[in-house]
Amino acid sequence: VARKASLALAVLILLAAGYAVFAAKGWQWKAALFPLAIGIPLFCLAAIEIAWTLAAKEPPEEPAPNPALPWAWMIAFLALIVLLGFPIAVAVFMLVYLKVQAKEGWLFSIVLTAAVWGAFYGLFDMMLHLPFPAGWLLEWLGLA
Amino acid sequence: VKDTYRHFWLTIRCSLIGTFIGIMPGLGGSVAQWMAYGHAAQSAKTPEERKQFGQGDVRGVLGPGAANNSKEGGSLIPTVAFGVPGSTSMAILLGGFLLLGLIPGPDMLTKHVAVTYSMVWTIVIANVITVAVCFLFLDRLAGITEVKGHRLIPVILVLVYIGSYTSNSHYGDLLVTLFFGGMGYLMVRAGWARAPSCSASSSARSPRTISIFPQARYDAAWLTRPVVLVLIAIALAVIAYPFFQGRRRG
Repeated sequence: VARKASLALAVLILLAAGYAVFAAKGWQWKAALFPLAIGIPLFCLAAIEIAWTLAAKEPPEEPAPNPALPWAWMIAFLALIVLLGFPIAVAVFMLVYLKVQAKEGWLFSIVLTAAVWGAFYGLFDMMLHLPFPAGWLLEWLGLA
Repeated sequence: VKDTYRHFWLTIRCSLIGTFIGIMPGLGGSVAQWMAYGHAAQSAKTPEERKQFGQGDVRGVLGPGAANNSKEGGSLIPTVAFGVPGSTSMAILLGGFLLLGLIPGPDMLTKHVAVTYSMVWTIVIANVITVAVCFLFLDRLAGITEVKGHRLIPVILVLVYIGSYTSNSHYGDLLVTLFFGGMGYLMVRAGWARAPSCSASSSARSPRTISIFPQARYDAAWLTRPVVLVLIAIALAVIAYPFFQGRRRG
């Protein structure tokens, strides 16, 4: 797992650095200086890292927990925020996560959800007046 | 408290790092903390000892804590003496100065020295009060570490998303958060150090703009200035040091 993760990171950095150098090529010298000064060494170092990782012997694999589930929760929460807006998404996510994933009782789930939602609403909405737009779905349905 | 005295010199060194970072304008608290953390981790003598960092080695807490507390004092120096705020809070303080008609500069160290001293003592007393309050609630605060992980995860996730959204009020920031979360996950799996990339991305803005000025003034000749050469040499030495250290250990 460690080897694959290292390889994935190095390839990602290689691509990002490569893109920076490629994009800066046509720019004026002054504008291109910073992306080139950082991009070229970064590209070389990432290439060395890839070669290094590929050449290294495969160490014994340690069993790693499956990352799919936490990622699914995080992406689902993001989708909820975009579709329903922060105030609704926070309440729905907290309750569903505590009930389904954490397998907490109803009372605990509802109390903690209410507490977090109250803190969120009181601090960010009432006190700081931060603008949280209604979700896309609500706007589309004309409920916002 | 005992740990602080056991690692007395580490605390002092990290405080110095914090003060130094505080003096430099534009470098925030996170840079000071991560640099101190990196320094504390380097002070571990054996690889086994180093593995304990992130798993409860007290030095990983002491170092960044010391740096964070001392950076406020450090960032007062450029604010008071030159009117260049070292951090966001100092920029607010500077605004307060101007409202009160205090102009930062040499006057603050001669005519208005009493005001400057009052700030120094405020920091000292604030730290003492913080320690006293922490002692009162220490047991309760320590209880946080016993809360089950799956109860904390949704709360933390809510705070993370709110934090990233409110910085620009843009949904794109949530995607960036998710992307860098993925990077962080890969780095943990690959055993890469996260601290340097954090401090690099939070301090990246300043070198990008600053690199334009010397270039406009001296063209490429700025690269041959003695101070620049010394800084480049230090940077190369810092990069090369772990390799040599690793080779020496075999």
